[in-house]
Amino acid sequence: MKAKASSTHQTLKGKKRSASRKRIAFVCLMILIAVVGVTLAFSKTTSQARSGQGQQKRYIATREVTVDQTTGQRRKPTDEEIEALVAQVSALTNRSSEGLTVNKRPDGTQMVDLQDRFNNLALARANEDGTTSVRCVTSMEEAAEFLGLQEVTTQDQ
Amino acid sequence: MRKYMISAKTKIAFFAAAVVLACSSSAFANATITIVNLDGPNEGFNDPAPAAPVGGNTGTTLGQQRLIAFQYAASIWGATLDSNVPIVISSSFDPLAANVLGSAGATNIFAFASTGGVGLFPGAEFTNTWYGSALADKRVGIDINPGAADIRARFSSNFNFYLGLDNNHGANPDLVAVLLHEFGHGLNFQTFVNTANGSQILGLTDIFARHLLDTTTGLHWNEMTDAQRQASAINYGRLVWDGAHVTTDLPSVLSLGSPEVRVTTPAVIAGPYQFGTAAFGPAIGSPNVSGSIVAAVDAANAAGPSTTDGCTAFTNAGAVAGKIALIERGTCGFALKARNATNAGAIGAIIYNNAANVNAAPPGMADDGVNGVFVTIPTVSIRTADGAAIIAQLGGGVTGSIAVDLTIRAGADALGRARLYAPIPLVSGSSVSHYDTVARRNLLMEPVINGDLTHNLTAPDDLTLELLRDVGWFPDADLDGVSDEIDCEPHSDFSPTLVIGGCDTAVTNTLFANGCTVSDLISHIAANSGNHGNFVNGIAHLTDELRNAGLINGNQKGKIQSCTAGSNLP
Repeated sequence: MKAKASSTHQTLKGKKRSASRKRIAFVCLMILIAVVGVTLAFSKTTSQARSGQGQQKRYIATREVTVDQTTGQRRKPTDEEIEALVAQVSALTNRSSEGLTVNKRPDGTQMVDLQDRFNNLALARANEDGTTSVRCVTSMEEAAEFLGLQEVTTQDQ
Repeated sequence: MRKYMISAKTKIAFFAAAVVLACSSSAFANATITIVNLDGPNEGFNDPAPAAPVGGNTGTTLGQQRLIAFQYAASIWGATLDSNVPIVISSSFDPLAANVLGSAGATNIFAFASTGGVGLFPGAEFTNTWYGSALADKRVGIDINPGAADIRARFSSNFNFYLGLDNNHGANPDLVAVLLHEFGHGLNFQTFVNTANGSQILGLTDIFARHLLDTTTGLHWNEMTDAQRQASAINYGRLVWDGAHVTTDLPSVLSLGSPEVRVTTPAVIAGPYQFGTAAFGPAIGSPNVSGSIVAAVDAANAAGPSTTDGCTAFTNAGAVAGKIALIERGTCGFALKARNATNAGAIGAIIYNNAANVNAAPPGMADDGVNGVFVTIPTVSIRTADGAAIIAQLGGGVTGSIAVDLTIRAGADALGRARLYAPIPLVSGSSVSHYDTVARRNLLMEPVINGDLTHNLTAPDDLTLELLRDVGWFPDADLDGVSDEIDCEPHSDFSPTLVIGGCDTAVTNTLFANGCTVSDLISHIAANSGNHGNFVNGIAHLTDELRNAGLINGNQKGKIQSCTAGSNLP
């Protein structure tokens, strides 16, 4: 009985240990998944906003240039809006030819698909007096200057 | 109708040239620009939200109005340019990021190994030079990449554009004006150089870059190294467009009187400087000031820790009086510095960016509400590097001016060439694919899309078409591939056979390399013959030439002469 009890106890302890190990493993797995997910998301964001110099560019708003679609009032762009803006402007104004391929034809004509690079972007800035300024930019730096975004630069790890 | 390369038949060509001397021409441009709607159901161009017609836009849904505005902008470009190849713009309205109105650009670029196009089309002006898709097609005379769009345009479905066609946009951005601007880039009002580092795509120059002239080095961008192009992209006031069409029409568009901050001597730093203006004191030119530039010196104290910041009364007022004071930015407000310069007897003030603003553009200088009213001299700001360059030369004496130069057009250099936008930005990456913002009147292809723009693209309202002419969009009203500027007949009669006074000769009409057809020559003779007898004689001479050239036989000559005799021309 004692032995059985002991055995039972050991079994219960063993079950507890096993359950504990599973919980730890599960937690570790979730942490791993979360880390991988965050890393991938971060990697995606930074790659979209990457400059030609291999630096990740992040910006913060310093001016009220955006009209809130709900309130109709001027406000600073949110961090999420800035992130989307940087990704879009950086991609469309990309002036790098890295990765572009040339298609050479029999007559010697060369063709390059610009893959949506070398675009020119029209930006809008809401002014204090109710007017809107419009400017065409060809780089994120110009966009940042126009919209009053301040760059925060961190080196790639 | 057959095309005949006149080079082998020079006699006919000379004859044709002689006939055309008495002719006049009027350009009638045309290009078909197709907007391809990429939007799905109930979005973008297909948005069913009801909308009241506005400013000539008759659409009754938001999507219809967007599409009509796009087509309207395309029709303006189509009526301005000539191409026998339809221009395709793949277009969509999407929920773009905040503050992004839209974008456009060429989808593909082409570089040719040789010049020459199909038929009489000239092909590329330069080999191994990138051309945007639409321009490449126009030059060669065929669709080089069938099935592919020439331009991709994306615009924001989140933004409240003015969708009218009448330019009566009020405070809202005018979609048509923005489209005209961005389509202009897609039509090759742009370089494909990476201005951040000066590199070229696959090491080849582009047709836009060939007209970018740096007046400091005297080199065009296609003649430069990457480093030189990188420097030239921020060479304020010294990067100009030297294309003939822009330069010729510029005086009818830009007004005389260019606000300038200049160093006159020594030569090593002479030239126009990028500057910012002040919201206080007299405007530049009221009055013009010129003279020696002298660094202001003041006490290093609690009001300003540096002897160069001008935050307290100048200690060298005697040296500054009657001169232009040079002051460092920082610690105290711009207006106070300018007030101290005024008190010292300076005739003008230049405030240069300090180390904290080493990469910043010259700022627009606000009044502090206290000191500005006491400033009676023109005050400008300049960059850190420009301030340092002046300071380095002060030992030998520096002269300069803050003035409206009435001999220079606003937006041009002293030789009347249009300036491109090449400022020193906050960081590298400025654009040279725009005219300079100092241009007056405002131009469509300045980076700032101003509210006072018309929808006109050419002189005397604008200089957009002129630049596109310079990169190769030659006028070609009859789309025969011969530029109207040299076309023997810009509006050729391309009838398949020669018809004289309603009489069909059944003789094949022929197009010569000078842009005239035989039908054109017959019309020219009729127009320049005072009577029927002269017309018959002229046609007899023409048919002799055609037969000698082997273009017609004796039977055909007889048919032509018979129809001529039976006509009542002229």
